[in-house]
Amino acid sequence: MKRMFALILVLMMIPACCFASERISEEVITVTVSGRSNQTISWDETNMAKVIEERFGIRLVGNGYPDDTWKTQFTLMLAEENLPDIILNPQISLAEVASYGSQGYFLDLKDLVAEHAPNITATMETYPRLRNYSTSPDGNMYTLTQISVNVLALAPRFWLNKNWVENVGMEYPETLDDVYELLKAFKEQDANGNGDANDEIPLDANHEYTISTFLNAFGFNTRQVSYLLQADEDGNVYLGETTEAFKAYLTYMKQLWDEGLMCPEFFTEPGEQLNAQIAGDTVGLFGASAPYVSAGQEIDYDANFYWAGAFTSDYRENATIIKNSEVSGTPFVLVNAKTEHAEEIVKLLDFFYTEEGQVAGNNGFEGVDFDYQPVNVPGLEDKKTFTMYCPDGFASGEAYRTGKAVINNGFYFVKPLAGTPSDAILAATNDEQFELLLPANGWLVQLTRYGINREGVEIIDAFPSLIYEEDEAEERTQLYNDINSYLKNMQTQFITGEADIEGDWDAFIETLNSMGLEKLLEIEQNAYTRLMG
Amino acid sequence: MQKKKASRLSRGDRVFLFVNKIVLVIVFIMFLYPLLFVISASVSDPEMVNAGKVILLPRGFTLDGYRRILDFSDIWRGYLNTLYYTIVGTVLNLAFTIPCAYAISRKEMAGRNIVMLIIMITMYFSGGLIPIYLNLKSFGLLDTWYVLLITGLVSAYNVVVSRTFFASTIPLELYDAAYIDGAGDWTTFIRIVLPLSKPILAVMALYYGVARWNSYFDAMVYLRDRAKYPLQMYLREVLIQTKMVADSMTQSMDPEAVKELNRQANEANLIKYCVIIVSTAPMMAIYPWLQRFFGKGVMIGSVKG
Repeated sequence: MKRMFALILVLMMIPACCFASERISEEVITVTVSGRSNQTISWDETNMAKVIEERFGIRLVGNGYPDDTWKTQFTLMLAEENLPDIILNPQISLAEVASYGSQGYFLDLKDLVAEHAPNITATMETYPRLRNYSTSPDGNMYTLTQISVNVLALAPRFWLNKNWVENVGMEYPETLDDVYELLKAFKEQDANGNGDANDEIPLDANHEYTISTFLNAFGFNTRQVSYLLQADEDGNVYLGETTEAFKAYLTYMKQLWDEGLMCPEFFTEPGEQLNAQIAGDTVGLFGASAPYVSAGQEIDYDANFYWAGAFTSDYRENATIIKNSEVSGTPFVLVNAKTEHAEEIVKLLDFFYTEEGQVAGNNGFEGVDFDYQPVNVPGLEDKKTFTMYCPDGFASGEAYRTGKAVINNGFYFVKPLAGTPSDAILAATNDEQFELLLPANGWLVQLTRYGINREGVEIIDAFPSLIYEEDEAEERTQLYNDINSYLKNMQTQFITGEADIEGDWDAFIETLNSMGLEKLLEIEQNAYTRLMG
Repeated sequence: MQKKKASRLSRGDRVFLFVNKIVLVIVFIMFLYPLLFVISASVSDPEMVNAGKVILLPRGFTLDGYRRILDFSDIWRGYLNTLYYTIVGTVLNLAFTIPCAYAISRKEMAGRNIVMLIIMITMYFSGGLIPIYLNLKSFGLLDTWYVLLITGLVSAYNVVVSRTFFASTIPLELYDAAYIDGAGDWTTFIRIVLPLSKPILAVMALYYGVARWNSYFDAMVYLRDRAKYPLQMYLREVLIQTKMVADSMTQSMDPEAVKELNRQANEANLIKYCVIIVSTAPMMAIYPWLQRFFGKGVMIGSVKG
């Protein structure tokens, strides 16, 4: 109650004093918002909407729709030409945006951004790909894509049980050969120390993180598990699956498979089963969003795990982490071409690219929804992190955030680094700092300590997602679907021995060619050349 | 009497009956198991269910799911709405389907073949989602309490089934007799035909009722106001939530957020099973009462043309 009172006081103070100059509209204007959202509260009910109305003179109204309901609703909105002013998270591709945009549904933001949005412009200078992805082939900018400036959110998450490594008397693996030896030791010995030497599963999970970690060690700059597009130094696009390095990858994985070092259900296992194995301490090396999440434990449980990856091999000389691009290739916002408030909307969007706005986008406002606290670790005192309020009636700060403060992933144009725990963790340099940060931040610390901040580790971008023109997109989808499912299928067959890596290789390449790989790569090449400029 | 009959059975018959019983028991178990599983899961600790530890009997007994539903006003509102849509909707369905089918079944009706043809066409060709939507919009029907009652008011298939019933079960002589006794069209229909048509009324009520009870797509498209949502829409949200929580968990950076998501996922999992029970119980309770008409009505109506 006290807090509510404080909140009301704060809200009353805001227009009176400091923020008068930043009003976007003198008279309060109403702007409608919709999009995909899994929350049942509407924009009007959020604290964020209240603050925005007080400060900027823009009243946000409207609500989102969950997943497939949203797709139907969006189709109908387009059909009756009755779009809300702002659409967040539209769940359509850049090609679709280009197509609808050129038909006049969406507002071209290019000139408005140049004129009224200094922060968006500055962000585009720092991350030029934001401009590339946001601009349609017709030269207009109908959308903005989301950005994440936190490298910890972009890195792969692959975990190695520390206790197991100790129990078998080995070291953190640097090379693929080390990994093999380690997995073998897991298999042969009682790595989890429960008295049974046969219940250990050395490597588990049919997970993007698992497969791509091994692919990375074989020189592929990818975060995909199949259809591995790569580009050489001259900008020529090729398919990773057709290279010698991929053959070496298959041979390595087949060896793991043949010697029983992988979970037998490697290619089919549902996530719940992996979670049960992690919880039961029967798996040594696995991909998961975080060990403690899968194990159903508190976050300090992550102290039992190394982040694993950046392995070297004959195909990868330097320890390298492949991260996703900061700029997402998915449209994040659309503005109705018929809106009466184009300029005000662009100014509002621009606010979410300021330091305050980046945090506000997903967490609300300081003093209304959260407080900043200094990081209590020697050497990192200048860093601060925010803690959400948890008023009466909410189970946790997170419940308050998604139940009252904001619409989750709503105006979240830039996933920030400043103010998040990651900021302090990435600034940590010595073991003492890491140990102090570990209990409250678990896997974030382990990922930084053994991955991102490890000496000699290089961090490079995965092959970027490409933008296709409308006619390209159509042709590509057909070819891609067939070829990708064939590639997935064959990868499994090669590893499990249903197909012979040497004997069936030529037939594999031939089949790919007969499925139209050449045409597909031509489309990818054109798109890649366009993106790279 | 029974015993005598049984003793007269040949050996082959007895073997057949024995095998038949075993097959029926197996089929019975196959149908019963999912039902029992859902009941067990609805009172078990959701983590046990996720770990695959609930096989038949509940583990980690809890009534939290049902307690949560009792607190969850959305579900009760949806329940009331669904009752309204089902009861009023089914009555309207019958009020439009039965007279229509009866009229078409009478040879005296002029142009009945053309009417039938027009009805049949709609079974194979639909106007498509967007044109229908725009049509309803221009009539001002969107987001109203009666839009769901009006869409799907008459099902062409059900008209065909009912027409066949009337044509094949009511003897022509009966109409003549009624006519001679001075009955007009309405009297014939209400006092002669309807009392003889209880099986088809029951079957149609069941067909329409179950379809209304289960439907969510129309509500999803034509309704905006959550207060008008039927139960299935809320149920769907609970189901989708589980999936979404899993999605956002892999992306989230904030430990507290992940913990909260985990809690929500567990809760959604638990509520999911409870909602299945709560939402199917009325239908399962009604079935046995209508079943005695069911076999008869469907069989009779099944000779088409």
